[in-house]
Amino acid sequence: MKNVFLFRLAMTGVIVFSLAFSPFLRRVSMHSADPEVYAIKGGTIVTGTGATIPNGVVVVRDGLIAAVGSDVAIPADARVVDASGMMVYPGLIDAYSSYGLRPAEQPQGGPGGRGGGGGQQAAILAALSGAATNTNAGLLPEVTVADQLQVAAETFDQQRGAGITAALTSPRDGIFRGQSAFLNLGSDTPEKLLLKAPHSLSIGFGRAGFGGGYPNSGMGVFSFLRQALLDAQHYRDEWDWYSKSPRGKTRPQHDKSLAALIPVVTGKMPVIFNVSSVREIQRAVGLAEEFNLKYLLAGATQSYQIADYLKQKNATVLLSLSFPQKPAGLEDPESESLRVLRERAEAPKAAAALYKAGVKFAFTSGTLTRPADFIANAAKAVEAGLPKDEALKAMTLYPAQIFGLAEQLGSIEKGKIANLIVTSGDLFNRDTKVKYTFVDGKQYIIKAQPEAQRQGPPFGNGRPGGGRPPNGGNAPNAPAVAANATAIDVTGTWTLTVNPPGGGSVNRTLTLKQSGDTVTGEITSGAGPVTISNGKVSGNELSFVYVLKYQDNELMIGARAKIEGNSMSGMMETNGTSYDFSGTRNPK
Amino acid sequence: MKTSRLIFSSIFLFTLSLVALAQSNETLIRNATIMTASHGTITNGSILIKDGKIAAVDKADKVKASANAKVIDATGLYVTPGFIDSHSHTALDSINEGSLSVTAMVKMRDMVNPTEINIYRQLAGGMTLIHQLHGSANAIGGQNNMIKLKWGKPLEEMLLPDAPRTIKFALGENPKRSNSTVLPGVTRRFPATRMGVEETIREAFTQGREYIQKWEAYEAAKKRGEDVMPPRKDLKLEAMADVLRGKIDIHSHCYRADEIMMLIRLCEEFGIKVHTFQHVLEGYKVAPEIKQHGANASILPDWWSYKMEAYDAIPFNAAIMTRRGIVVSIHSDDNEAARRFYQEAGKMMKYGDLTEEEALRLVTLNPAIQLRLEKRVGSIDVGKDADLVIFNGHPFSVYSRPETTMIEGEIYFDRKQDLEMRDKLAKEKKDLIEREKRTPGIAQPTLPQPPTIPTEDEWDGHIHGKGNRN
Repeated sequence: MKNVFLFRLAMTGVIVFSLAFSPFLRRVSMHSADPEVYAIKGGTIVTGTGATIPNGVVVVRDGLIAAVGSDVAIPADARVVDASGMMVYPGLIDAYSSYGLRPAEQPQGGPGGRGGGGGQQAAILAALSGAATNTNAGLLPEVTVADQLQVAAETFDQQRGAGITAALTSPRDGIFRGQSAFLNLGSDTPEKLLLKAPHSLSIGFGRAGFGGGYPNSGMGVFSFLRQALLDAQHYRDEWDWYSKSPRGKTRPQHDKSLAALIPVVTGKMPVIFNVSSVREIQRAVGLAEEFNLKYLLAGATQSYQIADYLKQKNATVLLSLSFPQKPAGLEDPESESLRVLRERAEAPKAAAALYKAGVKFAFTSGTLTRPADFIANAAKAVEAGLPKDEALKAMTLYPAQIFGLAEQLGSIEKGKIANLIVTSGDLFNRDTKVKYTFVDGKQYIIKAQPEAQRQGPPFGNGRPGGGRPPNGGNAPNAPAVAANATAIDVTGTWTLTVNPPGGGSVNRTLTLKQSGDTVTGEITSGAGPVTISNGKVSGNELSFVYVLKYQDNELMIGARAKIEGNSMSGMMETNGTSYDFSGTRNPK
Repeated sequence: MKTSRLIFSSIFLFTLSLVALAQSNETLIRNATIMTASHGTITNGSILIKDGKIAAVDKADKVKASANAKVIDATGLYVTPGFIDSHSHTALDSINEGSLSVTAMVKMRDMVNPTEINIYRQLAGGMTLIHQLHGSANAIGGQNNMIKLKWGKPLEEMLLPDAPRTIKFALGENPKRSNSTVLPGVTRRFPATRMGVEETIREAFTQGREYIQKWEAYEAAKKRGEDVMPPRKDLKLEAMADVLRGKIDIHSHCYRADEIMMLIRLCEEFGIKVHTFQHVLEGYKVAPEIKQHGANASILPDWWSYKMEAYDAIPFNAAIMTRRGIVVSIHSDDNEAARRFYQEAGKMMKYGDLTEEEALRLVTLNPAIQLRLEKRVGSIDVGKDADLVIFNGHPFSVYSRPETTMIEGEIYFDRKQDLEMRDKLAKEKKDLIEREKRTPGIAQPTLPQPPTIPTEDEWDGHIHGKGNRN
């Protein structure tokens, strides 16, 4: 009996425990038991609409700005944040990024796969392109970025530490890069963080070419896009035609790719063209005009050269703050062309030129790998002639307006979402630090930036070693690549699975010997073993080159892989084509 | 500094006022030896240019200009028409869409780079107009483009609004890819033989014909008042249909006599013509047949043996075909050869005894005819565009060089200005390097660059001296 009682007691405990920690209960308790009320007092509030309130108070309640002003009463239930001597700004917005999308999760070679794996998607794609020989997720306009978001508590730590509280996000590869999502950079589920999804269809002009299929040239990309847009128009018309009087007519086929493009061709969904040079910009504008598309230009680093043209076109620019940089280890500085040198000198002046011409623009981090450079480079634009309040607006109110979110974001006004940052001083001063960041009214702890990153000039040599993550994207989840390099040893025999273009996979045996950061060894090939050259380890990255003799030709293949313990994964590149491979180290 | 800035920014600004100013003024080129390319050489001649057009060309004493005309004294100098390259890949960001065997939908117009430095370099060699072709990676390539080399102008001003539409075909080793590397595990693209090339083109013609019929059936049904949906607009087949309708000229890369005959027969089967054969290394073997078909020949002057199908080439090709009545042009297919194009023409006087004017026409009037632009450019005749080159000596002498190149009366290259500009640009570069002296460099991504491996575009040519020609 006693045992039965104890058993029951134990069972009750288990049930109570599991209820308390069930996701359902946890979600409910977040709001009821933990009211998020803050009063930020004593700081100089730069509202972002033109007004500055010295020694003001911002009250944040339930995710929204409840009050702002110089004589606002501090509610009794508020946690008080003392911002004396500090500045309060609207949370910054990165108008175009890849935040929350891990490079590995990007659709390149993803769903649908290459070769025959695509099934229905392959068929749709073939219809879409008229001639496609392989499938590639970078060619599918129906891919939604919101579905690919992966957000953990620390995912946006770096962004929040740099004052960035919201962003538009989209992958960086492919032609159709996905239907972008606008989200707050909190630590909640994507469902809670999203403000607008889908917002726009992101388009790039880089050839798909992954696997050698159509299109693999610049003009092929444009023909592909034209055909896709024409097909979408046709699809819309066909269904209209059928729906009006279906009797006696053959039913058109459903096609999710073309269905996804209908809002684009009807002007309901804007496209974002990823462009940089003048001619890319003009090609994008030409295509948009040909199909009457609503469009935004992202990146657009050379837009300053045609500011008047862009004004005349009433174009909106999401201007990259990733300025071209002087390469390291340049033996002969004369070896760079005047054009390259000019572009480097002019890049920080781009924003001021757009401003003077009256072009609407917002700032993006572009390919910056350190979110902290977002503010640092905006400061460079200010030094180069952009008025300070315009620089701030380009990171707050303007992107909010561009994305149709000005009622919710972009300034410190009552009723807007409480995305706020508190800084130690003027945002554009070099030694200013972000002290507190609020996203959706929740305060986030700013984690100390590693020393190496805080020192040195804003875009000096403080970048962590090992260069950019693959795809040039931001990899907030990835641990910073160790600057002290060569912590790994790749010595051993590896079995590689290489996925060459066109489908099918090939196994190769890679034998490596590492000494310092130099790697030697050989790799098997269809024509016997081949010695590798230029083998190198940098951080956790292995790179090497080998030359295949094939018929009478020599084919050089460059390989690069990330090493994690006994596995590696990476890309090989040859003859303008790249393809992926992975490998495991054989047990000794 | 200021001049270079101006040149730099004028690339992108619409300096229409400047153009208008230059064009409204009269320009007189006085006392030159004028090689007209159409009606002989005029010694002691003058050319009057008005609104970008040639208003008069005659003996100096017969040409009268208004008092405010700008005068260029060309005493002791030679003037020729601006050169026209009927086969160029200059100023294109991309050349081959090699993924498929038929890519009639792609347009070179989409990939023009109006700021490519080769435009300026070729201007310095007297080139004023180029035919920008798709590469030869596939049997039916893309739709080509034509631009005038108006360096510094926006692309819109370089394009010729009335230019005819042309398309690239290719026969032989390039489209069948017998010289290109296939990566392990990759299936070879069809076709892999000359038979396959023929069949690929025939199939594309057949599809184009069916496409025309489909639209005709639709139009007819619509006329009958039926509730019908228009067919899907297919950009590839739209182009093929226009080829069959004769609205797009075929410019076909070819080498061997047998494949030349194959394309002639195939086109005649579909009731159309090959407008211009490109390269045509063995054209001399089938010159009467080419003439009878009515095609032109745009050739490489004296290149051979760089691959199997190029072994039977001879430098007398231009002369033999010219004597057979074919309109022959010489092309560069190369950024370097295009800079001394006039010398390529001069060689043809040596091989086969072409007259001076016949040789000059190979790079002026004849390419203009092949591009259907002979009413506008190609010779120094009243009413034509004032696209002119002023040489310091006879253009076929190896010691001569262009001093001035103008397009529609506007100077786009001038040797004196160029020399002055060099110092300014060098100083600007030095200043920019100095400014960045203390900026630490940023390590670039570490992906090993394979410099010795040509890209897809280069693979089919463009490596001077060892590649194929596109």
